[in-house]
Amino acid sequence: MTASAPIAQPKRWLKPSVLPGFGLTFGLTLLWLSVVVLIPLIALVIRPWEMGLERFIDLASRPRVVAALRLSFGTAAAAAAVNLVFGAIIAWVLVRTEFPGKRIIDAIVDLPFALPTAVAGIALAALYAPNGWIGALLDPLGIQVAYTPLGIFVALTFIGLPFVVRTVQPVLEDIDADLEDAAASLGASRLQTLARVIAPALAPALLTGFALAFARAVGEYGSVIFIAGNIPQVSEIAPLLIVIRLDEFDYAGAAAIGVFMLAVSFAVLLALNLTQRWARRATGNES
Amino acid sequence: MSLEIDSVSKWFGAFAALDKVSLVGAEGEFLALLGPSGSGKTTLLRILAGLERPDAGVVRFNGEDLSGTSARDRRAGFVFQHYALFRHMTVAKNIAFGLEVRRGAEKLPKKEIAARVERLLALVQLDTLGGRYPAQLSGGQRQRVALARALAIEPRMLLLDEPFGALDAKVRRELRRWLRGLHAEMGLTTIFVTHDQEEALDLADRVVVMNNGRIEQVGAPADVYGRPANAFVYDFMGGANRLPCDVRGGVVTFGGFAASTGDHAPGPDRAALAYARAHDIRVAPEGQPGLPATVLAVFPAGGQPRVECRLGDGQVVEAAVRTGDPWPALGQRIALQPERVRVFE
Amino acid sequence: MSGGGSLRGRRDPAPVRYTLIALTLLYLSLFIGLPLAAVFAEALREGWGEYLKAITDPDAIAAMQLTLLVAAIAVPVNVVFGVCAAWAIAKFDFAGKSLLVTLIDLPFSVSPVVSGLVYVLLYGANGWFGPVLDALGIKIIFTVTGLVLATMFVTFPFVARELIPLMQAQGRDEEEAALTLGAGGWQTFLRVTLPNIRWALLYGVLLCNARAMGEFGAVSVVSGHIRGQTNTMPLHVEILYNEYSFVAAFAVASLLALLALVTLVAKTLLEWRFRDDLAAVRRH
Repeated sequence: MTASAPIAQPKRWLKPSVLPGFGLTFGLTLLWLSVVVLIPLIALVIRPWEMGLERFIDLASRPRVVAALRLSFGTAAAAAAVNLVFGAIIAWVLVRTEFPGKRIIDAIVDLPFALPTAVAGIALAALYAPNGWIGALLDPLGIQVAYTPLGIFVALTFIGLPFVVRTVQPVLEDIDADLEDAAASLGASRLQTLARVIAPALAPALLTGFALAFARAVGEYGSVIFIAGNIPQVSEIAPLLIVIRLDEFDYAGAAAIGVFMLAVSFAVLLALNLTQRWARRATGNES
Repeated sequence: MSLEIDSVSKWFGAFAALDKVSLVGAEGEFLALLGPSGSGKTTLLRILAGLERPDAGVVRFNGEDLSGTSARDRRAGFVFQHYALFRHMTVAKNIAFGLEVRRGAEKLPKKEIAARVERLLALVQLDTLGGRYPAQLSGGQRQRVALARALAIEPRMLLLDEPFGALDAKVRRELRRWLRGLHAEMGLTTIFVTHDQEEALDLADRVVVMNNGRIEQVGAPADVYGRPANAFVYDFMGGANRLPCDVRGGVVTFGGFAASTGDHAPGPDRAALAYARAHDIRVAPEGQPGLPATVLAVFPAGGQPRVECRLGDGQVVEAAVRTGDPWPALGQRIALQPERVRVFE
Repeated sequence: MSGGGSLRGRRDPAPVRYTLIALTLLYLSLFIGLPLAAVFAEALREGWGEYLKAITDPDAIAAMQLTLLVAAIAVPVNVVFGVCAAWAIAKFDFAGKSLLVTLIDLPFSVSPVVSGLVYVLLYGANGWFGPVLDALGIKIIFTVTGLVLATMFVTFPFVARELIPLMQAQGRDEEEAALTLGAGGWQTFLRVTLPNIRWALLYGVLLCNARAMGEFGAVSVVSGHIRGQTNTMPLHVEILYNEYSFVAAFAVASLLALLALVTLVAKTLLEWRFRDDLAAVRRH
């Protein structure tokens, strides 16, 4: 054999290509990403170290902050859970049934994505105020929604609505009809098919939708503040507390809450990535 | 001498896609790069087009080194495996593209471009389809549009990557005939990549058999098929049976039956494996010299009547039944007489 | 949409089906229909005269102009960035690609208020660059610059994430073909790549624009709420509402709601008309 010893190729991070423009586009992407997103986020993340960890913990554990965080996470989780159930039902209806006007219903599900949050906020506040269309019905029953944590829950349910629907819908569309027919031909009842064939296939999408709705709800501001009443330690959400701290020029206090919320966002994002990787491995297909 | 590939190597990480490949193509020659997937044939074609850069080695065209010439300036007509037609342009626009993007002095007037597109549409027999979009064409039609588009730039060579790979058998045969006619007419140096040995043997002036980034053999179709240089080429050309034999004094024998090895020396004395194609193995009655075998199945229909039988060591071998020879019955014991074989070292 | 495939054998029993449809309609009218109706009803509570007066108020018009200005800067910038990012990510193979994609998606998972906060921490009076900028006489926070930055942050991923999956699915073949036919880099991009992605790009622009015009939390933090100067439409809605000028607040809000409806209609039409082009991106 002729000595064709491999010319040791330097391990290149970029696979060479004849297409032009990588340097320019990659450079611009990185530059812009750094200026607009990364540097500002880093500035936030290292704040706690600037002020000292002790002070950070002190700031983040004051009763008003803890109450706000607890309220934000609690109502966000409750709203995402409601959307999990109704999102699954809506997705099912959109994929598996036919009725006049279905396409309009399909389109309207995205409204919470498109409607500015402040508009949603004042609309919900007007609806659920004691003299509003819905508030007037609930008031005699002794149920008060506006200016209570219940109002926050309503607002977060509104803005989280599309997430579960839009993650479950395409997966449901892709489920092979033969799969259900096969299950039926093997003697499974409709409920058994649902529980053993369809539910497992939908589980990753449901989880993803829940996580997205939750992440969005935790940070939500515009649609909440009008209906919440914003009473410290009762109906004051964490994002609002950041705004209040900033108005007081208390940057450290604002940053402490901000860092905590950012950490939770990252944790959710990471969990989501892991879920999707797990789901891809389990089903063996790239989606 | 028009095209010269000189010790070209290409690495993808630690994997050698091409390992010092050298090849010379004559002006107007029709060359087939034949090999299994991963053999480096497509990489070589893309290097010729300037779509990949070799890590070592040089490609010359009429003596001119192409290393510094980009894909854009190379004027190599490239037909992609999946055609890569511009999906948002009509057939006519696709064909005109290479002319419309010309700059400066090379720019052509609109009328001239339209006239050329007309001529090319006629050449590929799609005269009436200039206004269609690629999605509205059949596979064979798309193939011809891709060819017309590549020819529009008056290329110095034509490079085709698996040109018939995505087509069904009947269209493939028609297009093959048509392409051979076109090549005869235009006399353009043409290189095409294929993994189908029949296609390579049918079309090319010379076949280049590649494996693991190297060239195993270059030769006229009859040579490559009739006198494979090594076991890989023999195997890849298809229909190879591997039979145990004895080599003694340059003679190859199978259970007392002596086979011809043509001009190929079988090497030193030893027990070896011989390669033989089905139609070179004769089916003889039991008791005659040859390899004893049992008939497993008979295939009397089709282009080549043959039998499938099992040797003593369990190996399954295919052999032809000559016209006039009696058909053996299932389960019958017979003797196989490989008349022409090759023994590689 | 369940265009293809029959529902044969997969139909639920009629009572189940009708119950589910009824639940869907009830839920959606409660959470989407009623709020939308409330916006317009409140806006027109005192008649068209008051409505027109509210939306032609100088402060309201200033807010509209500012909103248009911010979007007119943020959206094109995001288009350029999105196309660049998609070109680099979809047409080339490099190490760290998935990390880059994750980073681009990052602003989606950050609270709008935090998005504004980070700029205040950088450029505010007590921020990192605050003193330097102050010395140079440059103001970012409580100015239009700050509004644009915060808006760019929250709309950062919109265009890129529509284009990346589509361009990945389309591969490199057509661009390589264009090169072998003698086209240059720009010619290839303008004549081959851009026409192939135009509908997805428009889709991204649509969503990006809706968010840019409607953003509230992030701009609220950096705006300082200076009337006629740093008040975008959503912020103006807030001010009017807090001043108990409900009709005026809902009148301005109704314009934003109309924008949302127009966006939804356009988005839906794009999805119906160019389903194949958008198939890769429809999974939000």
